[in-house]
Amino acid sequence: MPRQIKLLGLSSLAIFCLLGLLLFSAKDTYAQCEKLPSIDSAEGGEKNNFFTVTFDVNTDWEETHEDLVGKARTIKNWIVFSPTLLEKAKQESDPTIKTALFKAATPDIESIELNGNRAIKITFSNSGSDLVTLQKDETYMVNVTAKNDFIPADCIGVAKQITISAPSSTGTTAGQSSATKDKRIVIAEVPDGKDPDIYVEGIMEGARKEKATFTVDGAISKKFFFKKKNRNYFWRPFFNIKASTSEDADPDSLNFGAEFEEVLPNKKIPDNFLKVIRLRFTQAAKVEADRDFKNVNFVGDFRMKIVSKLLNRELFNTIPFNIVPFIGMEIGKNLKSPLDETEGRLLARPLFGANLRAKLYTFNKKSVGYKKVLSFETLYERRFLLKKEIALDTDDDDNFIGVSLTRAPRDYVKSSLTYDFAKNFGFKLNYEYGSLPPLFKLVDNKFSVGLVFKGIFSSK
Amino acid sequence: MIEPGNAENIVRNCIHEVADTNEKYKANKPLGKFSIIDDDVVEAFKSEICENEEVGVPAFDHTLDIGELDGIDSETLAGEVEDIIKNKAEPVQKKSKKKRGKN
Repeated sequence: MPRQIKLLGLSSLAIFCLLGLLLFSAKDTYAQCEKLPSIDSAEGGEKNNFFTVTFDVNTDWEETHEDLVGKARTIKNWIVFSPTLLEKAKQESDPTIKTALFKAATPDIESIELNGNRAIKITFSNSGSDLVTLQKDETYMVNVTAKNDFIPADCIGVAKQITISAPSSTGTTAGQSSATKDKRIVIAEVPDGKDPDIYVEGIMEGARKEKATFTVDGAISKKFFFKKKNRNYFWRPFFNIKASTSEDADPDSLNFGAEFEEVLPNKKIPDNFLKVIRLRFTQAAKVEADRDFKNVNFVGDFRMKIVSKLLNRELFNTIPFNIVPFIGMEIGKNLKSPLDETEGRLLARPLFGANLRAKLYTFNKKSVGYKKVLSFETLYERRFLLKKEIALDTDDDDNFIGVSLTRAPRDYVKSSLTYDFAKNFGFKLNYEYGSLPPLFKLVDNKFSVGLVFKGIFSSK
Repeated sequence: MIEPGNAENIVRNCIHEVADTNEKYKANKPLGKFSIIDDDVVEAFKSEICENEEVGVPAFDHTLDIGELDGIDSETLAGEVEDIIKNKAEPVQKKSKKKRGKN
């Protein structure tokens, strides 16, 4: 019996080793062949003279990138053809039509270029002429074959075929306009660090026998670029609101308006010890009010943002962070006030502050596409009131009462630790202190955890 | 058209103009890896590419509208910026000298 057990053990060990060897060798072959990226999807271009082919990259992208660049630039690796048109050409008896059908079935590739890291743009040779290279509503096959030195010999051959349809528009102007009309505005994910076009942070707090409180911090904006007389401009309409039903933690501030910026040409700062490289000047005209519009100001907001190389670096050589200080001035006039003595007053508030962003950790760094990110952001700003402004508060019946008429500086600080767990959603841990115009209601050391929805408007 | 090698140099040098980073340059790395994460820093980076006469597009006798870089952000790959430069930069139109003929 012990011998049988011994034999059984030895044979199990042998089988285990054999399986391991097989698995190892299979993995090795796969590891070589997986360097050949397969086509994930393909999309026709607006003018019907190119396709954009997207790859499905399952491997370590840092290693495969160079291979892909090499392959992409080798035209002979790419074949595009239409099986149905080829079939029609075969059956056609008229030689002129037959030639035309063959030409349409196998359009000549003019250039291949890397369009981003995962997409290859294939442009066909008669682009720009009246001839439509890709036939309307026709189905084409795209093959990528490995024929260069980058790919191991075992992997030579057709990597993958994919069926794609040319867009229904033709190469004419009418076709282009219809393609433009088809564009839809979608809400896309926000790259870390970019200000979202739409942002909503909501918090609901409740306790037994107590009224639930709701807090919202929301913003919507969209940046537009335009060029006039060789000068570049941006303008951005915006709407921001910060409000809460909690009496002790209600900034009660909203503003809307438009920001404007000219990209100043050749305004490079000379070398300086602070390593300031650019100054950005923004101007905004905005209306600031409380959520009930009982106190309304019209304000011009002028800011100079200082971009310094000293403040854009890595912390501990791993965490990239940016600090952008700014100085500015808010000048305006009160349009409506709940108290007669403050109505119509002029407003002037020099200000300074800084915005800090740090990308603490990126999850799944090697994967392609969306990545979960842990980031930290702090905004600090201090306003100096040149004209006395009233700090308003409400009584128990929600009526405005003047608390003080003062020129004391007003601080505002908000720090957020954000974990973006999905494309448009994240958790935020916030700390907030200070007061915001027009009411300057003090938010006294408020901590909160909120769910955030954010996105950028993108045309598809 | 700006040659691929020059496009890479433009992106590489402009990154070092705006950020003090030790990150090794690779086309497949996002700008965020080179400490370009804040919107304002991204805008400064775009300005460097379009306007810096020493290391930007103008250094290669080309021009690039800053609007062409409108879509870039901290997640944009350095290689994607290179592609925009290669595809969208236009050679500087040299002013033709008018010949003055004798009457």
